[in-house]
Amino acid sequence: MKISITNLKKSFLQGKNIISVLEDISLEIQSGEVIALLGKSGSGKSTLLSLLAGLEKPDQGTIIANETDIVKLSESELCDWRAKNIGIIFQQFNLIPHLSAIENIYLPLEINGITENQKAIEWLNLVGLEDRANHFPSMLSGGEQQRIAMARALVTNPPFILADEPTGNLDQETGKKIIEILFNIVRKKKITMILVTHDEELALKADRVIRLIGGKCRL
Amino acid sequence: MSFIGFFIRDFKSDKSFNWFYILCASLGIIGLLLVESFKGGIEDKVTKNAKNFIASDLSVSTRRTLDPSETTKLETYLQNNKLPFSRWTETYSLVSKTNESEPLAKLSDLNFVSEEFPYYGGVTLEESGYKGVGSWQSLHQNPLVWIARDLSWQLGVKVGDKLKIGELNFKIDGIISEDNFSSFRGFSLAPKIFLSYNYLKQTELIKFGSTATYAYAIKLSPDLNLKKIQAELRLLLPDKSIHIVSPDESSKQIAKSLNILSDYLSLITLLTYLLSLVGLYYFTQYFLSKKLKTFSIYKTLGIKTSFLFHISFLHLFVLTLMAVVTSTILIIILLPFVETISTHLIGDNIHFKLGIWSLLRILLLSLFGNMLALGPLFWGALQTSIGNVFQDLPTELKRIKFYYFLPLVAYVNILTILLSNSVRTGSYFLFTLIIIVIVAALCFKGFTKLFEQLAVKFNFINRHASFTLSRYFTSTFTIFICLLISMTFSVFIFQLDHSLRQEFTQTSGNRRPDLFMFDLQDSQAKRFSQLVYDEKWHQTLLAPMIRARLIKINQELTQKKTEQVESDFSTRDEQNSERMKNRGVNLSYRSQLSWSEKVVAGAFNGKNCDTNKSICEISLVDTYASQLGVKIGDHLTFDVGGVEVEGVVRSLRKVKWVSFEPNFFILFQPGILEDAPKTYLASFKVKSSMEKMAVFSKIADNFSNVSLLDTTEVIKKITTIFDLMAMAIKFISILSLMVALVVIAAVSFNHLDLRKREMTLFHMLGLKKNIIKKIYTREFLFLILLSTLLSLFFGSVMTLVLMKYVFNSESITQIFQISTLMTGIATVLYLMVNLRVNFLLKEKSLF
Repeated sequence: MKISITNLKKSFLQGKNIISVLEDISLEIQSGEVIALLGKSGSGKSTLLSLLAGLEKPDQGTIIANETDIVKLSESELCDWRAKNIGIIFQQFNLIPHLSAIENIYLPLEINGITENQKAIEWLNLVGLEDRANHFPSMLSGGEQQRIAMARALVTNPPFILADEPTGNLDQETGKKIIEILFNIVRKKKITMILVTHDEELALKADRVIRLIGGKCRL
Repeated sequence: MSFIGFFIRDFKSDKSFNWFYILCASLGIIGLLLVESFKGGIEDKVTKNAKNFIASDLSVSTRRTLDPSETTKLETYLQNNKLPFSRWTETYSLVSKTNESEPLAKLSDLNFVSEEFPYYGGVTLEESGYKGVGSWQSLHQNPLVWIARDLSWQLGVKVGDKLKIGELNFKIDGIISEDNFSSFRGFSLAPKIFLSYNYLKQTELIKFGSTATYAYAIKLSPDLNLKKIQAELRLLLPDKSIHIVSPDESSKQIAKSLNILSDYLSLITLLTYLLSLVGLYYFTQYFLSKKLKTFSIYKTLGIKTSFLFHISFLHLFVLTLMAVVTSTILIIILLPFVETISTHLIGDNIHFKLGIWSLLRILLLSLFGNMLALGPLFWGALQTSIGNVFQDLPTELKRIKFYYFLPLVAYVNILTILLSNSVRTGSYFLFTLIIIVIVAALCFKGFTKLFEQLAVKFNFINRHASFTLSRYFTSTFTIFICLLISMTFSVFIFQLDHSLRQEFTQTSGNRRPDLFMFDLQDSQAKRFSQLVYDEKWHQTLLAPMIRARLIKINQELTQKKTEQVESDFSTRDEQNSERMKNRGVNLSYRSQLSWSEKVVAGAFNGKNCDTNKSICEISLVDTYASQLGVKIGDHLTFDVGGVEVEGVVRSLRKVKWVSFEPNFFILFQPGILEDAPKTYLASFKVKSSMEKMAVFSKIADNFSNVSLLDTTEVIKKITTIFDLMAMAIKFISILSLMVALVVIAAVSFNHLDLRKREMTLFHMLGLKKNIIKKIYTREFLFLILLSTLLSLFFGSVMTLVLMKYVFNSESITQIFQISTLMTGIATVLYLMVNLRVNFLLKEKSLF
């Protein structure tokens, strides 16, 4: 998925003060490109991810994903767009605690109206957790939870992945394994991905590194 | 380390838990405080007026005439000890106007008082030329009466008119606007009349077996020992049918009916308290699961478990204290409003009183209950291994075993018994509650598991709703059980109220007699039958009544206990049982049972008994038999006018008392009691109000000592009292329901708040907000639906059981009203959940 961001601005009201988080961001992301997004806390990374996922509306600017300006989509259209086009991986895994591993992976398929869970089983096997299908998140280790979260993000074959520090809560070795699996899949399926990280070494794996400094992009 | 300093720091860090606890606990306590202050008010009122109720410092009274030797002993003792006394005889009789062409007679409560009466209390008269305290001396000079305002309205008479009472005409000297001998207005059977004792004989009202109370009101100087005099009089008059009571004992008896009401109100408020405990348990569990890590860190720092336990105990104590203070403040705000309602209810002013001891009692009661309910949770938290401080996994509370709560169950059982003053009522109440919880838990677990298994076949919304129902068991079950219990008891109270009302007004309505007559003498029976025949009255039953005393059960003497005051009995059950054994009884005999009786065990024998060949058979009312501890085959011996009469119990009956037919606890086979001294009871059906008036008038003219009750008026009176009592119970029930709703709302909100992250995640995965909302509201819809259906079932079964086994009648289901009530509760909860989900869905992102 090709993404064009033009003159994107976003500010928030904090008490009586207006805090400008993103200032005039323009960015072109090619289909299948992996971008590493670096930045300090408060630099606007999370806001940019929210805007790209269509969870927030910018004050100004456009976000065109495969010729669709998602800024102009209604709330309902955005939900459909998100369900079909985006996979999200979080630092905190964010699995639904009362759903088993397989049910967590199956969830995006259900949202897209797919009634067969065959694909979810395939993805469970792909991340090597076939023996954990009926385990609940509280019964899984951090690495296992992140693999389930990754399978959940990828099960619908989305053309665009937002990965928010996916190894931030894992030890180095597990983190490496997770990234390896993720990059293999992304490269193989030519998925566009924005990877938020603090890890310079990991960032080098990406096609391009973008730094957010004071709400502005620095290449 | 300073214990207090540590406690204050720890206490301040748990603000949200503290607020929830105080809210939940104070709502649970508020009902208990309200009923406690109601009881305090009654006690205060009867204590202040105690001497007025018996018009003296000591009363000797009996329902039979004292025999000459007893009279001599009593009066000699009083004269020897220089104790002033007056006589006070109370009886019921028909009173009629004398100066009207249209005859009219009404049943009245006649109080014949001697000249020294009263030593305490008095009446306020109006329309006698002045309005003020009545002068008792004037009553004794001429045949004058003071009559209650109600009676003046009923008969259409005023001061100066004449009334025929028995065989004598009296002039109305005053209309009583207020008398402080009465306890609580609205509870008397007939309006009062005061007249001089000097005319009692001339009225010829007192005959053999007449329903009357004969009392001596005795004045004691303050230096005399009341207890000593009571004991000396008891030695002189050992017959326990003679009551020798002090003002305190009398006031306790007077407050009995209101105490029964407050006992039942207490049970309902206890239910509210238990519901609040469920809420507290839920919040404490949630709070502790979050606090586990802190406890573990404290322990790694070397703080002992016992220290943490003391901190936790103090935390609970302070919170409970704050809850008591909060609810006390709320009560103080609410009291003026509640007092206004109670004034309408009792027909008298009761100033609710909440003393320091009551507050202390409630504090201890709730503190102890809360400790027993929440203690296992704290204990579990403190026992959790400190190893988890090194783990990142969410920590779980040590599993609490069900038997940890057995002390709480035992405690609640004690509370129910103490509050209801009855082992049976209290235990049934708790047993019912436990059964409901167990059956509800099984149903809930079964349904949610079934739904979970069938989930694959459901659509997306229902599938996820059923997942959350079964997988968030603690919170969903807490909400469910609170809803179920509060709705079950609402249904029960509503159904019972309706069924009883129907029972009074309609069920027996067609067959119920219109008039009920008592005190007809044996010598008058023939003349009376002739009158009935001549006037073509429809007499439904004429039943003989023989006064007797139960003296032996299976040849063992029953009157073992000495005279006891109420405080000697720990519960009302024990008190009733002893009373049953010690008091005089009314016997009757009949050849066939009336429509209002049904044999439930054994067989009724209405054939003539041959006393030479066998012992006569007895039929007992089943509840009476169980209170006496008597079963079929047991032998009972009665003293009937000095003659011992023995019978064997051969059948047990249920009696529909509201039928107003002459019914008796004890029925003998015909053939043994015919020659015993007796009076008669009779019942009539009338075709019109004219005929009713004619019956009143003819009976008043021909049998002046006989009393006649208009059952329609009695039903009206009972219904009015019932209405008022039902109103009090409903008021407390609504309060309970509101408390339950607040607890349910708090638990529901907490349950939803914990899932805020999940809702946002659903949205981030592309699920539309209206679908997300449907998942959560569908979950609550199921909870509401299941609890509604089960509460309807439980409430109806409870009503059915109570109506069938206690009132010997049927229960009536009011589908429309109950559906309205249920829909109302469901809608309120559904709207609350909807609003909360809407609020929580405002969160947009988890980045």
